[in-house]
Parts: sequence; structure tokens; C-alpha cells
Amino acid sequence: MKKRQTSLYRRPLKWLMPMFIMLGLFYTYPLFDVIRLSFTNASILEPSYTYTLRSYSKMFNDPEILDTLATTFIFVSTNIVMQIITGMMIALLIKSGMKRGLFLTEVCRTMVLIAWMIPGVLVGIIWKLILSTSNYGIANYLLELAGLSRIGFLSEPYMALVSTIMVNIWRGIAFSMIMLYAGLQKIPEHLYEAAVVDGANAFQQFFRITLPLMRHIVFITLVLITIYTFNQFDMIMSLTGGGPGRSTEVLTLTAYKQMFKFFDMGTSSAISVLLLVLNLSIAVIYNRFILGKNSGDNQ
Amino acid sequence: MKKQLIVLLLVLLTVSAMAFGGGVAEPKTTEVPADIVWVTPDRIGNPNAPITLTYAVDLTYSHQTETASRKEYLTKRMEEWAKAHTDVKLIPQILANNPSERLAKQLEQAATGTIADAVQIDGQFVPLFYRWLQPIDKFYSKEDLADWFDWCLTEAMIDPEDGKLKAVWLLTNTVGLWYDKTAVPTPPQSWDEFIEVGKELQQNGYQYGFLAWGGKNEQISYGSVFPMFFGLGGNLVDENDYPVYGQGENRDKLIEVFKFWERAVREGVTPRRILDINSNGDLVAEAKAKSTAMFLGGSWLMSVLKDNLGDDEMEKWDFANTPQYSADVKMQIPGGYVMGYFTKDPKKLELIVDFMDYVYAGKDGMAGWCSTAGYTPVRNSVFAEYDVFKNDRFQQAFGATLEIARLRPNSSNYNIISEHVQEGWQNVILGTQTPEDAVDTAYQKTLNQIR
Repeated sequence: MKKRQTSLYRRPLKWLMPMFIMLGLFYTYPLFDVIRLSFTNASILEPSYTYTLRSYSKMFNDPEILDTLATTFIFVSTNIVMQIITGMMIALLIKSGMKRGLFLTEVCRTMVLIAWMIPGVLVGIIWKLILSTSNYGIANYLLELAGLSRIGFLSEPYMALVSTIMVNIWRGIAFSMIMLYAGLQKIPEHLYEAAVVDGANAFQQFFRITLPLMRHIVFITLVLITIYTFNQFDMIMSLTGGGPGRSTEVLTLTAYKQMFKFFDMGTSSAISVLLLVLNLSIAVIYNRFILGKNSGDNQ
Repeated sequence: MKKQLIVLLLVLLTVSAMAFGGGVAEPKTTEVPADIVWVTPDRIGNPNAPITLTYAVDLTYSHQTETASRKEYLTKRMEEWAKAHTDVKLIPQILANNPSERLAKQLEQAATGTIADAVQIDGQFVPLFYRWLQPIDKFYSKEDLADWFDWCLTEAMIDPEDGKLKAVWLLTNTVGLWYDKTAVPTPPQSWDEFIEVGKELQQNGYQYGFLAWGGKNEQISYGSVFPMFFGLGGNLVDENDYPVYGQGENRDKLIEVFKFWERAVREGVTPRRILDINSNGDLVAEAKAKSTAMFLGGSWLMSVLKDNLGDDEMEKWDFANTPQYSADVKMQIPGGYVMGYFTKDPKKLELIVDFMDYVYAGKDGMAGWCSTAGYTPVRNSVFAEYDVFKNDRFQQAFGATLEIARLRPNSSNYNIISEHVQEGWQNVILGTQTPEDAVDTAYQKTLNQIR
């Protein structure tokens, strides 16, 4: 047994090789190929291409793509803030409910999670049925029942963006809630008891105990929410298709449009690389501001 | 160490064999198994057959479809053909659902030589595939070809470069005016009449004068903009495939079309909320709710309308040409699919053409498939000889509207043009751009993209 362990520890490479091969073939190679394609003028219509910076130049000089970038930042930032705050509130409520043994708390937790389990395409279709201005639109039907006029949730540019953001928040809250709830479970209860003895109120307990001790989990949640939201595609595609006009078009939709509608692999790849860089940069910023120098502390 | 390496290699070999379809070699006989099921979801014909053909169609054109009537027709015809060709088995492939994605994948597969032997292609884009498509002239006589509508031959089936037959048009559809005859005895033919009749309908209690697709997708271009633009004689691209819709007379013509829609919204005949209408169900729901008695919709809505309205109510509805700027102008855009053949093996080519003719494209095949699926045939003889089309007033109406038809240009820049025109049109409906600004912005974006 000891001999085998020694052999494994001395020569781990051969045991790890299948994993490296799989990662290399299915993750690293496509990633580098996208980066390579971003430096070409490759098109689906033409097999030949040349290496150029045209795609990046086009991306940064195209007002349309810059507009999309602005829409993406509004979509992502609103989602991150709302998902973290609401997720934390629900996590605290559930923890409090569980502590007090309140009826149906676990059911509530499961109900919230269901939203996260539904595939994005279905989420888009379901909310389209709810928000449609057609006769079968449930939200507008309820508004009319209440004596109010119909709202173009998906046909007015501003409302369409708000609707898209709200739907994504609705879907994403469950994820942040479950992550943060797991973090809350790890905080020792005696810290709160000591704080109560010292006369700390709920807000002081939250800001002095809960939040500092949850830095790591908040960091991970933020990074994951940011990546998920930046890469959101299927829900928006089925809900609005990026319209009306281009009011709900985010970078992933632009990348898709460049590739599958305009057949421009170069620009589509450049946009994908931009998304990668944005995601990595934001992760670094989070790391710096949330974990700071003492990133090894706590949990 | 050696032992471990051998084990590792064996594992990798096994995994590779499983992944890449290794295994027992297929028997090369025409022996038909006693318990044969001729048509299964992933195979048609004798499983032991030495010849394997592949074909790719849309799910709704495949025997894997969930629609019982289509499944029944296709399974029956396929089984008949397979029983007569025990040396052949066919492996079906299903195309991507999204048209743009589908086209991109098909082009990629054609370029890399991995495309199926026969593939269903959007009729508009056939010329993009000419260089890979195999000529099939020897399978069709001159009389056969003369049976197809003229525009099928000139716009797609025959490659103008070499004059060879490269594809076969299967069926067609178009977007025109659906109207309730009890509310609209005579369909409007001009834009002025369209708005006038729409206002009268609203005065008579209908919520909307007329409706159309306005959600962001190809239906805007195909149904609401380009039929009117072509009616005015506008061109999207020149003979060199360069976009010209934003220049000179073409610009003026597109602005005229946008102005019509802007006026329709401004005068309240059609609502801004058409931007939220982008599915068959959206229009049918409004017709069923009697909130409108006129809408621009696809001929393929016939079966959906029948299912939702019922036979009695459907009797009240009819189909006419899309209203144009002037009542004496008629113009429709036909859509539909062709079957293109990519296999270079002469034997396989002959067999797959025969199979496709039997199921979809021959006279009986086209009549059977179009009548089952509710599509409009593209062979004159099918309209003239088969009762199911001779006696169907809707099919006769579709055929009549398609007498004067013009395809969307089979330009490699078409998607770029269509996307930007859709955005411009939506901005006009929203009131965020004037028709002039919308056309100019769309055109500029198109040029930026193709640069």
C-alpha cells in the first residue's frame, strides 16, 4: 500500500494525464482557438483568412458594439447588486426561520431554488407569456382587472430592459441565496450570543460579524454571478431576442449575431475574448477589494 | 511501470473505440432481418443494407416529428420506398432549429465535406451552396422541370453559372393578408385602403385596424417590409452583391415603406405593441379573440387558424395579396425549401434523388407532403391535377398570390441587411427615429459591417 502511494506521489503525471488530455482537447484548445480566430478576418462563407487586428479595430470603433457594451454593464451591474442583496436577505430570513423552527421555511427555500433549476430558454418563454401585451399576457390581464392600462413590458425599449433585468434577477436570486445561506451556516453561533451580551443590535451584528466572516463566500458568489450574468444568452434570446431595436442586446447576443447571422467569426471571437477579459478583470477587482491583503483569513 | 502504462493505453483505446464508433463491422448483405422494423427514428430501411445514405431535414419535415399526420405520411412513404430498395438504408439528421444557426452550420459542413448526402436548404440561400452541390439534370426531363413555377427554376434550382440543375424546390409559402370576409368584404389592395379599412374596423368595435409581425426576427423583413419595398421596385443589392438599399431611388422607396408604417401607428390603426408580436400564436390569438379582422401573416397559418378557430369560423376567413402603395401593383415574396444533393457517388446520388422525389418532391410526393403538412406546392401539375389542391380555396388563393413573386436576394450580405432594416423599422414604430434617419442609419450600419 505504502509502495503504491509512493509511486503515485512520485509520478502523478501519468495519472493526471487523461484529465490533462481532456482539459486540453475540450477546454484549452477551443479557448486558444477563439483567441487565435479573434486575430483573423475569418468568415464562415470563406475558408481562407488572414491574420489581422481588423476585428478588434472594428469592435472598438463600432458604435453599435459600444452601445451593447453599455447595455451589458447596466444589465450585469444591476443584476449583481440586486442578486447579492436580495439573496442575502432571503438567506438571513431562511436562517432565522430555521432557527425559530418556523413552519414551511424549508419549502420556501426549495421554491426559490426551483427558479434556478428551470433552463434559461424556458424561463424566457414563461416570462414572455406572462409579460406579453397579447390577450394571453397574464401581467397585463391583471393590470386591466385592477383598472390600470396595459404596459408594453417587452415592446417598449426601457421597459424591455427592465423586464429582462428583473427576470434574470428572479432566476439568479436562488443561486446567491443558497451560496450565502451555506456561508451563514459556518458562522459560529456563540459570536452572535457574545454580541448580544455586549448589546449589539441586528445591524451591528450583520456588519461586524456576518459580513466580515463571509468575505470569501461573498467573493465566490460575486465572481460566479458576474460570470453567469455576463454570459447570459438563452433567456434573453427567448424573451426579447435583443429587441425592440437593440435595447436588450448584450455582448453575448452580439457575438452570436456576428457569428451566426453575419458569419463574421473574427469579430465574434474578438467579442468573446473581450467578455473573457472583462470577467477576469472583474474577478481580480473583487479579489482586491473584498479579500484584500488578508485573503488567507477566515474560513 | 510498464504494466501501468499498458493498462493506461488499453483504457484510452477502449474509450476512443467507444467514442468514435468502433465495434463489430457491419454485415455487407441485403439480407432482411425477419423481425425488421423498416422505419425507426434513426434509420430507414434494411439495417444490413450495404449502401448507407444520409440526409438532413428540419424536425418538422422529419418522420421524428411530433405531429401525428406528418409522422404517419412520412413513415408510410419511407417504408414503401425502403421495401423496394433493400440494399439501402438511410440515416436521418435533424437540422438546427434557428435558421441563421442552421445556415452557418450547413455552410461549415459543406466547406469541410462533412455535410449529409442530401440536405434541406432555405430556397433563398441555395446559391451560396452552388459550388458544392452536385448536378442532377439527368434525373429530370425538360417536361418535368417545366412543371415547376418559373421563379423556382430561375432563382434557385438552376445554377446560372453553368446552367445545371443543382437543387429541387419542395414547397413554398408566402406572407399575405388574412382577413375576415364578414368584416372586410373586399380586401384592401393599396396602403390608403389598408388604413381606411382598418379605421372602419375600429369604428365597428375591433380593437386593432390590422396587425402584423413586429418582434425582432426575419418575419419583419419577410412579411412587413420587403414585399412592399419590392412592390415599389426597390433593390436591396446590386449585381455585385453590394448593398444599395440606402442609395438613390432605393432609399426613397424604403423610406416610403417606413412612412406607411409610421402613419399606420401614428393614426392608431396598428398599435406599437406589434413589436411584441413574433409568433404564429400571437396573431392567431388575436384573430380568435376577434380583436382584429385583418393581419399580415404567413400562408402556413392556415392549419393553425383552422385548429384554433374551428371549421365554421374559418369559413369566414380568406387570404389576399399584401396591400401595396398602389392597388394595381401585386407582389409577394415566396419562401420555402429546396433539397440539395452533395454526394459525389453517382449510385448514391441516384438513390437519394429517387428517395426524396418519392417522399417530398415528385408529383405524388409533393401532393402528399404538401396536403398533409399544409404547405403550398410549387409544381403546376400538382395544383391542376390533385383534388386536394384543386378544391381548396386557400391553396388556390396562395397559388394565385404567388403568380407574381420575387425572392429575397440570395446575397451573402442578406442577413446583415435584414437585421439592420428590422432595427430601423422597429425604431420607426417606436417613434425613436424618422423613416429617413432609420433608413440612413440602417444602411450605414450595413456598410460598416461588410467593410
